[in-house]
Amino acid sequence: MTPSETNEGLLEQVLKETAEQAAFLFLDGEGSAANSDVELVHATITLSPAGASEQLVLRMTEVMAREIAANMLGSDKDDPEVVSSANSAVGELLNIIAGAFAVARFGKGTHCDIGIPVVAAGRGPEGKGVTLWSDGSPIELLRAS
Amino acid sequence: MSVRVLVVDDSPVMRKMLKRTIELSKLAASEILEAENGVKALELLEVQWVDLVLTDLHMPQMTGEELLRHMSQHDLLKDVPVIVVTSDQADDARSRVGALGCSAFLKKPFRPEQLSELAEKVLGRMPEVRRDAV
Repeated sequence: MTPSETNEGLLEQVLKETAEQAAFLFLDGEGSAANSDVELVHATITLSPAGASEQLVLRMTEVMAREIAANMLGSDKDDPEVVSSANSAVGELLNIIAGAFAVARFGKGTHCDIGIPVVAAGRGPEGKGVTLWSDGSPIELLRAS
Repeated sequence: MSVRVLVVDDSPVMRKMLKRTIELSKLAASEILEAENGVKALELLEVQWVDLVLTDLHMPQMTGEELLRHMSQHDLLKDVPVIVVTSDQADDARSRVGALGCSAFLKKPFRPEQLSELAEKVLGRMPEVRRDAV
């Protein structure tokens, strides 16, 4: 089985592609341990394919969330509109990731309900997944356990 | 010809993105209204005429699909062009909204020019898109 056929491979693929297309953020697998002092934000979303249910979690620093909002809106990171949109940007990025992941994992022909993303401060749920990096800052995409 | 556009999405950042894309397009939008779900959208549509609706599908209180169903049953709203902008890429989502009269379907993430070209087309410059884009 190739990496792209495993769940972690799919998570990595959709995270990389979606971050690039939706937020102009280029991610790779190179990075060091995250600084435990930084403020984190996470979003969760539920996928329900054919009666089953699973939850995806997207976690990053607040600084990264602000960068994603800035990229989505084409504005500066210090723009008040960007600052107020940071959490919403994390939720929207996870929403787009969930749509791509559902098709990659279950196929276009399978009905899969995609929930509403919920964003909150902190680490959020734990699970198995991938960590990618942008300029030394980690972004994690997990399947909640 | 200036147009009035209604953007319906529960994500504030997506509403801002759609609004900016429309503002920067050739559509010459005279006004861009916003609603956070289908209920709020219908409240606006009851009192304001719009030329184009851009709507997400998955929203709390009333989904984009339910909004389309309400609009399709309303004499004054059934012919208003609607572009569904969604992360849901499944075939059944496309076919359901197509059956409800959706003019076009745009997958997130999208490039700004994709949205502006599609909006121009469904506003009548290329009527065949209304049949083929869904």
